[in-house]
Amino acid sequence: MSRFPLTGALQRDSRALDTLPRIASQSLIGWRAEDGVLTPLQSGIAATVRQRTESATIHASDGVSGPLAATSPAFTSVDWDGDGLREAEALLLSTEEAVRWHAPTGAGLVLPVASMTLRHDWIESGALAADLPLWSLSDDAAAGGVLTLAGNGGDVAFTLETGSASVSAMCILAEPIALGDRVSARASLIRDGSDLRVQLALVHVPAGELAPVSRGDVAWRGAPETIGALSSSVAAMSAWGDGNGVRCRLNERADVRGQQLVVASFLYPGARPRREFAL
Amino acid sequence: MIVGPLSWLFAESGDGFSPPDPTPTPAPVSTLARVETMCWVNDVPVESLGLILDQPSGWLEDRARGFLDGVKAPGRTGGYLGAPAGGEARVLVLQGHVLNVALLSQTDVTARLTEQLHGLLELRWAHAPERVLRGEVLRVDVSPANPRRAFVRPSDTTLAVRIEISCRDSAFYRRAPRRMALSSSARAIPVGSLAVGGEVWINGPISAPLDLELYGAHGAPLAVLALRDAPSDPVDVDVGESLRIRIDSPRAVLRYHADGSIASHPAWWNATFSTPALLASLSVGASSVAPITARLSSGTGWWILPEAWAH
Repeated sequence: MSRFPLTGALQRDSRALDTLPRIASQSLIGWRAEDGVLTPLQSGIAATVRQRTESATIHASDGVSGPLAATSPAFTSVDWDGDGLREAEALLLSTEEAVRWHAPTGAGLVLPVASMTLRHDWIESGALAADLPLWSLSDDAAAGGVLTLAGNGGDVAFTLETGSASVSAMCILAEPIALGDRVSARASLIRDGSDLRVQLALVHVPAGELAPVSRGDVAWRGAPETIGALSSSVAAMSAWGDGNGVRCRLNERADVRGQQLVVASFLYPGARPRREFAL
Repeated sequence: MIVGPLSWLFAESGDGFSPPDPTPTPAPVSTLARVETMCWVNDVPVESLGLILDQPSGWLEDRARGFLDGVKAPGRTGGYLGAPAGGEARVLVLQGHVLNVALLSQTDVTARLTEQLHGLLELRWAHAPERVLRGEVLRVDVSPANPRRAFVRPSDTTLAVRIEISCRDSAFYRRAPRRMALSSSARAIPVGSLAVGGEVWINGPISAPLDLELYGAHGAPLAVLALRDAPSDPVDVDVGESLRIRIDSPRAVLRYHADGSIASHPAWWNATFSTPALLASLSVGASSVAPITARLSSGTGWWILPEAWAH
């Protein structure tokens, strides 16, 4: 008979070491703010953070706000399902901050140039209107093969650069995304033989409105999704980045950083519909 | 018992066997427009795997709460308060059926179930989707629901699925922990039915002895976590730095976050404060009144508390 303390040694020990219980994840790199750490769910992936220099203002679960020292990542309580209660967690990232996921040694990620799907959930905090990045798969200089989810004149664009060409997919919504709105992007990179295409689909819930599926389902499974047009094709490159120092980046592309409240970010293998999103 | 080359065609007496209709039967049309989600496994409704749960067990059982043998509890046995006792693992069994499976698709169904149901899982239930239980899959059994008719209608069989999960940490935790702002003003701290400490983050600058004081809802003191560099020295944390205290039985783990470090600062140490008493105050069962009230003797900070429940 195993006897573990009822106080949750399995989870809390892991938490204090900034690692997570290794939940069987279907994703290549998967991260949720609710876990309270910057490392993703996958073992063997480390996180590096570019810190802010000033304290942040974050919110308690009951709405009380207060300062947080600059050396702590600014996890904060947010209302994700729109019922007025701050029941969910998000990571507040300013234009100074970025999170990078890479090998524990600091080496870059080696990922095949194959179909993949990004699920990125965030609360809009000004990145879109300023054309700032939300997520990217790139090396430090954003050379060679780069995938970027970023603002584009107030809309969202998912862009693939191969080093010699680029294609971009957008998803124009009937109602523009405003500050405080909740957005869940499903951005697909689709490989067709030696060609690549990109496509972007969004679930958009304006601030103050109830999310279509609340019952604690952060992924808004089954929510109406607006699907943008498939991009034109571009010849596939041989590797991501310049083959060195490739990282999966939150809030950063090259030396440009965005500003957002990130709730979750998952990169899955293959082109997936929303109903197949898992941890 | 009929024995012979065609014996598989004939059922035993009373089994109601009838030979298949020679004309093709149209595929059954499901009249279910929607199946309510009863359980999520790693954020996936098990119903989306085709699994209709009909006999879960172990998911609502209570957990024994108590103290280690020989430990005295003030107000109950006198003496000092010891660490809470360990809990037994929760063994959870999910039983259900996958309907309308063609024999040739059984491999796909089994592969999909085992792909999703392996390793450490995160389970949530429809009655409280904000609470998470974590457990490891022990085995996934898939078998014909009616073994004696497994091959009678190969285009339309029903599979019985039995999933055994061991939750070594049998507590349910709040999916996103509560975050409470701390200051010298008293704040109500919600607690669950099981004791869990969580993390306290204290903002710099601090240059004085620092106490985290806990009170009952009635205002009487319950416990004090006294932070000192040495028995009487003040805690010294600079501007922009922070101090983190992880409160878990039987000790508190302190971590000092200097400027420029988040994940790899070596300054760790354990401290043996009166944390068993502090911790025991953090559950409905152990404190006489809930919620409790907390404040800092000076400065500001945050308490990140993943409430825990027995079910």
